Amino acid sequence: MRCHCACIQRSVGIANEGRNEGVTKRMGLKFFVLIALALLVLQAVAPVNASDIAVIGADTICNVTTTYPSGIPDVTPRILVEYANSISQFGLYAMPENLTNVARRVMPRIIVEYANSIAHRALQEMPANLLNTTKEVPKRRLIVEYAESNSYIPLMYPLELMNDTIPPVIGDVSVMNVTNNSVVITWITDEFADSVVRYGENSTVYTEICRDELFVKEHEITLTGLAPATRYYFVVNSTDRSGNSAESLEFWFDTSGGGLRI
Amino acid sequence: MRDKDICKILAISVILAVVASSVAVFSAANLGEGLGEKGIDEGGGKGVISLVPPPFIGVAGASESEVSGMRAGTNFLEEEAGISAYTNVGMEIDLEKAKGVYRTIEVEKENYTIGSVSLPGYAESEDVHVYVHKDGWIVAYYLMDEPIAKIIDYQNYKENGDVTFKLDTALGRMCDGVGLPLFYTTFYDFRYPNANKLMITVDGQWVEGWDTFDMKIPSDVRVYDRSYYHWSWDSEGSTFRLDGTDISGLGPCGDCWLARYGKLTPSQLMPNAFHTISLWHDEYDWHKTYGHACVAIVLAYREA
Repeated sequence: MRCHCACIQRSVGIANEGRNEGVTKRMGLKFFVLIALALLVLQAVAPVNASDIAVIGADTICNVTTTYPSGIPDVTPRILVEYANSISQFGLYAMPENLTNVARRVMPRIIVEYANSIAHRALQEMPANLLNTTKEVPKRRLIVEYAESNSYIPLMYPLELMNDTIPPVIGDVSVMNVTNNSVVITWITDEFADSVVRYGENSTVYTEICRDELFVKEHEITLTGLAPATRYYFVVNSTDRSGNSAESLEFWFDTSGGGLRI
Repeated sequence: MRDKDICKILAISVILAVVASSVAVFSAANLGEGLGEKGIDEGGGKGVISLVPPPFIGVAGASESEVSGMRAGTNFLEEEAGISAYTNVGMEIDLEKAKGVYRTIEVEKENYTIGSVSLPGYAESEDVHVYVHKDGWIVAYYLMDEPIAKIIDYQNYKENGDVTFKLDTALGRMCDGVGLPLFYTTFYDFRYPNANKLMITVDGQWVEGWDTFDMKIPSDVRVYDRSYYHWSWDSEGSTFRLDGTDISGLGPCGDCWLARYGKLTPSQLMPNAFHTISLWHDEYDWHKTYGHACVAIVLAYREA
């Protein structure tokens, strides 16, 4: 406090000075009384401004004016810590460079808390020994849901029971719907048998084959992708459920049109 | 002299006729191996073919001996059998013992017999036809106009879902009757040579209420036969619905069986759509809880 103002010391000096002068005590006392009366009159005549601070009877009055040094920026709000042994401060907005790539790889994830155990397994990678198995699963299947039981029985032709050694009898071979690139060939058999047409552009040389594995008695095979205006030679063949085969004689047709001839 | 001349003429005519008929038979036999338009024309048309017995025309009663190239009586199966179960017991069968098992003997030949075998607990209409050949073959079958679902032995269906079949029971009865063991059973339907699988789906309702299941058939699966079996035991009433439409209803029957089977049409089980099969069962006696009702859907189809 002492270092603040010389003006305060001067005020104190005046007071002390008045208190130590005893020689002219009467003179001084009259003078002092007059001064005091004058001050009282002045005070009464000129009242104290409302904005002023009035101090009366104080031993010391100190009026301090503070001014910040120029060039210091405005103080930002901050956390004040007192009496701590140490204070450390880290900037959080600056990510270390070696962590930047790691942060980019962080993916959304499932968060589990308080569970006794957590296990997870990647499903997108199929074990190699299962790859062939899945390829064997037929795409076409019947779907049954919520039933109490569902069972399958294979149906197998009783080959040995039938003991059939007779080949099917082929008849009524016909050529229909001849176009420049396709034809329909039909025939019948006296028993269930599959359907095969072997054909080619030269007699007895059958370079192409068209087959339907289903067992029927009325057979129909459509040949497509034929060359226009070309003569084709063909035979039809049928094999029954016991494996006995029969083949017709050779026939021919022209893709330009025309009927069945030998 | 005149009589002798007439005899000579007759003898020569007979010889000529025999030679001519032999030529005709030879021509027809050749046609069987490789028949074409040309062959038919040169052989005198299709009428000639009738001289050679077609492979499946020789019915069971036509001849005692084995039909050429086929086991005796098996052609009979081709003509009248539908769903069938067969086995070979591996040794010769005493046909006299087999005849003792039949309720009715239908065909009795030197090498085989065919008759109907009754099933315990079932009416005579559920009898199974059984073919027995003395060389060890036994075939149990229902006729070709019967739906496949008829084979379900519904009286022995249990809540655990195990399905047994009447054809198995008939085979077992025949094997017991002839004193030989039944080692295996294989199924086949002579109507559908391209079907290679049967699927039997059963749903049961063991308390009062509704039960449903769903079925979807892909369009590229060839289904050859669709049938159902609906049965109930000790039920006040049971209803089987397909996609909300009543298919079968069974009336009240305390402590007794009621059952109905039938065929389903392709339009009732259209492909590429889920179909809902619903089953209702109402307890006959509310303080007893052992009644039930079940429905089975049976499909014969070709699996690739």
